[in-house]
Amino acid sequence: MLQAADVSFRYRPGAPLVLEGISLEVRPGEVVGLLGPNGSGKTSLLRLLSGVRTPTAGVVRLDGQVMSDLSRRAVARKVAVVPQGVDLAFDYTALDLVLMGRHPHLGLFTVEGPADYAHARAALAATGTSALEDRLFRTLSGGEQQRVIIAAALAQQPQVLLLDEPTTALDLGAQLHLAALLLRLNKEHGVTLVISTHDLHLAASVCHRLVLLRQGRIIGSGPVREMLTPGHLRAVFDVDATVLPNDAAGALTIIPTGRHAS
Amino acid sequence: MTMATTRRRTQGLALMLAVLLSATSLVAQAPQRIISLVPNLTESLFSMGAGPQVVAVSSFDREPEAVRTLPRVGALLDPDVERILSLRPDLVITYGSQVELKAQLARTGIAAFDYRHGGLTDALTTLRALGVRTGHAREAEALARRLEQQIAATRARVAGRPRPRTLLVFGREPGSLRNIYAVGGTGFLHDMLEAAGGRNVLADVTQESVQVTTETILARAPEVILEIRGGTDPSRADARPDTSPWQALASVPAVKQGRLVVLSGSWLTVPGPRVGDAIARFSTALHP
Amino acid sequence: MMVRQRLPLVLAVSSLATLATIVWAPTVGSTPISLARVFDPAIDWASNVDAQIFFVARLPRVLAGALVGAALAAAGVVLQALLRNPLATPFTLGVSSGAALGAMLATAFHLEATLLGISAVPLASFTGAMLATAIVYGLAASQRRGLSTNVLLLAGVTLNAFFSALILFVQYFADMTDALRAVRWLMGDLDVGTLAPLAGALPLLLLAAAAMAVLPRALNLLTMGDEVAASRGVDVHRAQRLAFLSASLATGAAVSLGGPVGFIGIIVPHLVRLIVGADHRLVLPASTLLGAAFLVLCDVVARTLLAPVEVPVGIITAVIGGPFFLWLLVRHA
Repeated sequence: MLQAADVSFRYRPGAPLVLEGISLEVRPGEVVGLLGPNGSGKTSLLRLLSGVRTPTAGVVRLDGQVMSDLSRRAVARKVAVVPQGVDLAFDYTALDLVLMGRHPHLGLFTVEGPADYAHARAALAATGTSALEDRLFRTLSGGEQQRVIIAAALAQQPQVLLLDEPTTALDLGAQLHLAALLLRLNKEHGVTLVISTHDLHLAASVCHRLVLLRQGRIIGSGPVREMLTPGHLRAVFDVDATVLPNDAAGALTIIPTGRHAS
Repeated sequence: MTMATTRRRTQGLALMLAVLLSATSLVAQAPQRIISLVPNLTESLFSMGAGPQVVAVSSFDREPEAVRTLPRVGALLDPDVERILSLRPDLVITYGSQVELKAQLARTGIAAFDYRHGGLTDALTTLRALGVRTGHAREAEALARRLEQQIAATRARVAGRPRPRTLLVFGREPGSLRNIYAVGGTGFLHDMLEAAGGRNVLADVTQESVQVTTETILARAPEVILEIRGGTDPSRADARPDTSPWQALASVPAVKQGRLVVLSGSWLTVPGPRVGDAIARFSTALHP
Repeated sequence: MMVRQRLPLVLAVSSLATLATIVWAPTVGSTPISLARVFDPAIDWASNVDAQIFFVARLPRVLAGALVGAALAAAGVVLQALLRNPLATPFTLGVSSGAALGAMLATAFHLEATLLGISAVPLASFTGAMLATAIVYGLAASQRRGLSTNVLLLAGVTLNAFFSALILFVQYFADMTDALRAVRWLMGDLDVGTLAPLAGALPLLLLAAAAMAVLPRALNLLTMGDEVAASRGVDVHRAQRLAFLSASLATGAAVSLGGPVGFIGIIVPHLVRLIVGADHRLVLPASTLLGAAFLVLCDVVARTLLAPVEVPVGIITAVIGGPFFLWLLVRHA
């Protein structure tokens, strides 16, 4: 469904490459984690996969079509992005914000009708934010804001949801809440997920497959259990860690034990 | 003895002293190196024969012909103090508002002649004072008398005639009725208009210049609109004046009767030695 | 209530308020007039002073106020969304001083050419406004990564300082009366005299209105940032170009008509947002309509307060707008 073939990217001519020789494929129904430290190119890769940036070399395809040939609206009907945070300049309510997700489905002068409101309210329900509908977005907590932004992305009725560091700004309770929400979206709504993160627990508990990034290159790719090994973790993060199976959580527990002396 | 009388007595003494001092200094020596920052007074200086004493003028001086070769030392807002001092003047003619310049001159012991803008009689008073101060009292007196006679002659010519209600315009955006500036009920130009046998339609406005709206002009219904086109460039002042925008105000008597008069030349608005001519010019426009 | 239901309501209420203001404004002024005489066909036009005051002195002026107010308020809304900064106005970007410089140069060099009924001073100020916008836009576009708010605002501040210095330079060499005329122009002046200047500015305003008509939903999304807007399906570069073009067309045309009247672009959109919320599909049309009403009202005050002496309308708007702006600053800080 989403495919990157030997993609390299720099932000402007003469600047260093932030991604180099990246190839990956996201299949329908998958939950793919992009795992790497800060500055490894995760966010840039998401920008290429969502089509808001065009690769310097190589090509990104959406359902077999070259991404840069598609209109923004056509892409937005299939791919939605949940950014790290949204800094709103004006006071919109949660519902206003979610309704904005209907943009790619509306004509130039069309105003949202009952069907669009239904989609928006469904998205609020799916993220457990129905009660926040009339609250001003800026007055919500970090976790609530995150879920409203996800609802806005869901209102786009996308096939793929790209999430950029979704747990960074959340407290522990909100992190668990989010992980559960993502699992439910994938299982019950059939949404394909691509999640960039350096949160090992999120990666372990939600993702099917991990792509390990370091300094703009892929250094490993495969099922979660094969990727979350002490050796790979050392290669990605420069840390020593113990990895234990945790049957209660249905996943792995990773205990960092120290910074790796290289 | 009360405080008031003491003060009055001291003031009286000071005044007497000042008069004595200035009288002796006048007798002793008339200034030989005059710098004039006030263009209309430069013109007066030359008219009363003090021209040879003038060593420098302001950057806006253009009259008479002789000033064009003199050094320039700035003007109202930007007097070039270094230049002024280096020319070693013994009298500098300044504007009343040039407080800092006057303080600097005072510190270096250079005398200043203070010009204050006022009405028509003030202009003649200034002329006489300038004559006394520069050692040309007799010539200045003669000049002032001549101007008074000229003005009196104009008044006599128009005496008894109906005085047309007049709007005296001295600024207007070309080709439109925007930014119209007219003469209000005080000051030199208002006095000139009245002397020339006109009645200022803005006489009740206690300002020298008024930005008038078309509504005010319609409401005041002037019988004559006298427009002075000045500026500094004489060639431009002679450009064919365009009075057609006024036609939009069809109900104004001046427009209906075609009494839209344009006078060109910046000299018409200068309170200097040609003020008599200017008033005469106004009066022929108002009473042809 | 759905936007579909609120939109007609908001439009109806603001249209009515604006229409009422525009109908009422020409009936008041420094001179009392009789409406019966104004519309009495028995009185010959040339001798009907009341009709001339109504149709020549007041009506063009009221209509000019309406157009200028509408254009400046709309440009304010668009620029605030574009820069994601509720304190942005057409004048934060140096557009006003660009216009002022144009006006100053035209008076200093005594340009007397006219084009489409607009005389040289407003024409030059319009050119200056467009030039300033082009410079800011060029600077921002050269960043390649789209329009950074900081770069834009800083460029605006720099341009303001730069143009102001040039204005002082020109003023320094101008004739006293010319300098006075230009200074007066900078305070805002809606006494256009005839309908011709309105006709001259109208094509530009219609063009701006057409460009703005397609923008509101994109503006909503742009306030979340370029990348979020792009990922929601907005063609960000096209929307930004349209927004910039329409805002500078509107500002240029408005300045050409009435001089750089300040603060309209910040007062009106903010009051409107307090009432209808932040949705640009409501804010943009309501601000446009109420901006017209607001400036017409300010001008009624300007021409009656000290009549027959006129208070520049820019001073009225600044007296209201200055404290308002400071209050907003404190509130946002």
